[in-house]
Amino acid sequence: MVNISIIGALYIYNYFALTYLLTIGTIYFVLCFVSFKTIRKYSAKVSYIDIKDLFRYGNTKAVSVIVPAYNEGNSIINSTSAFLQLEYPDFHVIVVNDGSKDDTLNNLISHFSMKRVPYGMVDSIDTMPVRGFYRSKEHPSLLVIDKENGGKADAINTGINASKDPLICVIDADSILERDCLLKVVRPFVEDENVIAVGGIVRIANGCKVEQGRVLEIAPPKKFIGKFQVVEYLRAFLFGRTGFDAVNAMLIISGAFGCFSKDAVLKVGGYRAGCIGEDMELVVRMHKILRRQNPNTRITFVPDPVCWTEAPETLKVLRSQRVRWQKGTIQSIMLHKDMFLNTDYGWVGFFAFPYFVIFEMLGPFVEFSGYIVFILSALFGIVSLPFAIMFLTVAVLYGMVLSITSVILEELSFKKYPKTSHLLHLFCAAFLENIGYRQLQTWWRFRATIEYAFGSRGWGKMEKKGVGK
Amino acid sequence: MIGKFFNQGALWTTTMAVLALLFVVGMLILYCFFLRFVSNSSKKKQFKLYAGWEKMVFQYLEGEKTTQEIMALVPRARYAYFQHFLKSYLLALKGDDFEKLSALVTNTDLFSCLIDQLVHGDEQVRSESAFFIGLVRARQAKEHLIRGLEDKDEGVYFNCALSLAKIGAIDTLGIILGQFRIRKKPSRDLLLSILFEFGTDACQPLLWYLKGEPDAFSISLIVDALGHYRYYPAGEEILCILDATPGYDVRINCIRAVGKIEYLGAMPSLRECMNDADWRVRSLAIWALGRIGDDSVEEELVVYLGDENWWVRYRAAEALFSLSRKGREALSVIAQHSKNKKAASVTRILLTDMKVGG
Repeated sequence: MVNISIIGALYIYNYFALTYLLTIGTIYFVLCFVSFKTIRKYSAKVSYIDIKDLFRYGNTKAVSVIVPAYNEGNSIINSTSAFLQLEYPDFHVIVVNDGSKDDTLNNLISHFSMKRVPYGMVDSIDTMPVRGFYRSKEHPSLLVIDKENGGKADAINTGINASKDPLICVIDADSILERDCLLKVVRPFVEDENVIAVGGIVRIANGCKVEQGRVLEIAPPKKFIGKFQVVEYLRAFLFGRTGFDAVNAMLIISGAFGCFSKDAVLKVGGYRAGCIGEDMELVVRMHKILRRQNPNTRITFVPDPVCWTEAPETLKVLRSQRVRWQKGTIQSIMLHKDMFLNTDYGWVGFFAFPYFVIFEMLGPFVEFSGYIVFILSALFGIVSLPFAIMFLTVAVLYGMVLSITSVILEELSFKKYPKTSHLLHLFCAAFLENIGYRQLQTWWRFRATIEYAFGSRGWGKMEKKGVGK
Repeated sequence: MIGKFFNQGALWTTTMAVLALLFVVGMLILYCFFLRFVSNSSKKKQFKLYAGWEKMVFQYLEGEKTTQEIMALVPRARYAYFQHFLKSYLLALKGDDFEKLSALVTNTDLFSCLIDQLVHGDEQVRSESAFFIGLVRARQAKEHLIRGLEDKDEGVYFNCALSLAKIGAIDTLGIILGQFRIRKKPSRDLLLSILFEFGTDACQPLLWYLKGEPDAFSISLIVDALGHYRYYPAGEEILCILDATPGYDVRINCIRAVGKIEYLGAMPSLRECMNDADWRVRSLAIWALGRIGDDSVEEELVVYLGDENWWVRYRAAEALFSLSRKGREALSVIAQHSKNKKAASVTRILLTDMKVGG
């Protein structure tokens, strides 16, 4: 009797897993198709207009580049110097030292000849106390704020408080921006007044030749763990975000690089301090609050302005990062669960939010349990071994098709990887990441979900060794 | 029955799916390498062509070759490459060289090809052609560009308008503004970039349009453009609008414009605006008075250092700093000794900004 009910449950679960797989496969296929069209259109558009033309009359919106820094002593000078050399008519760099325990602040003070100055804040989002403001005559557009440690969101809020510009661009201290990055990311704000936030593409700098905060030669990482992440990022940005953006339903702007209207961020009360996924949470909150005030509000994505970042190269650090991302996603969803299937928020309510709940938050559960149920089904004779193998092969191959498509999207649009051998590396990674690496991610995300449910909601430790000189 | 499905029927289906996916994967990889191959060979061909054309264009600029001789060397099938090749030169060259190079496009078959593309191409091609026509300042394409303003594609409209501005077709300003109004997604910055492209020649007609313009959005834009060019004769009209209009958007742009123009006659109205309920009006009025140089408001400005809005406080401090030495001294005292925290904080920020120059 018990056996019969177990077998019945296994049957039902098998059908559920099959439906789940087909649904997510269809969604990915549609996203892929939409992104293909959008990216082709975008790259054709930018190919003939010199972007500087749009910004040459001085009627541009000024930007504050906000750089939260915690223990970034090794990289802060190179990255700040590079940020100061960005190509844009009117911008300021605000580095917020978030109570670093290393020599981040001292390095900044001595390298940029900074002096402590009497200064103050423009706005008043609640943050940890500020210890001092530093400025320099040689670099008038640089402001360094030293504050007590309060986390990344708190540091960004401090930067927002100090900014006098209508746009803010939030960048990780160890990120590398391409020189014309700001021009590209600000363009949607110029073209459409309803745009309140823009995300750019984040790429992996491991393997690239980097000097003085500039990427000189682009190449894929040497280690496979890095290559897997290159393919993952291409998939996530080129067809994930572009696809969601086509229906104005983008729920994430990467914390490593995003540009926002300062007014819009202030209206929603700034970043939520203490939040694990503060980047996603802010964007979801902006949709929630600001789309009610103005249904035409747009949060968009531009596939062109590139921010290079260092990817974890050990499983331990990668695990910590992915656990944090998963917990951040769950937290953001739970904080705004009333948006689920809520048609007041358009595509966000009835497509993007349910997608994140079903496939991002609960996905690891379905996938992980799917593997177990599949093994049990084989043991109970519900599925034959050849079928089980074939079914898993279909899933792996479908994953490969998606990964390869994202590499093709890259090839059709931006061609960042110049050598043909780089393509071979990416295809190998697209093939291998579906065998082992993907399952490992599922396991980490599954554990992260369990940990979150049992109250473990910390940031975890993220070690970086730094790219380039 | 279900068991049968999972064990027999599905096995065949999944096997077929695996084979199909394997085929798709293989084809996609081949396609990607094919794309890389095409791109590389196109680059090589482009490089070779450009090297030859570069020499040829310099000979043309030095008068050693005529337009006919040049065009005889560029077959029609290569026009797209040639257009791309000329673009960087047209963007970089000035004066006689630019005129000569522009004549190479406007006096040859390349021009009719551009017009053909503008009329019959897809939206991307239409946009590119419109852009290129503006780049070579082809005045003879004016009628086609005007028709392009009615194009349903926003990009084509924008590039046609921009090109009309580049060729100085000031008489089309009304059509550009009219078309802009009926479009779905008007962006103020985009239209401003078109108005600015017309240059100072646009000021007089803009002032004329301003006098009969009923639409608040267009009024704001025109006022903004006139302010940008600091067109003094527009001061009185802008002031009339400022005094007569209740709408904040228009008022804000008027105040900004009279401030940029430094229109002396605006001082009484600006003093009134300092008491407005809207902080944007207050802060801009203070900024404009500081710019025009009305030192009669200095004492009042000290009071505004304690305003509830940060920008009003900052603009008051800025105006005090720029108006007189007395004002600067007052700021130093406030920064060090004032019990009003808001006033002291904003004064410190302003003084540091002025010292550092940020």
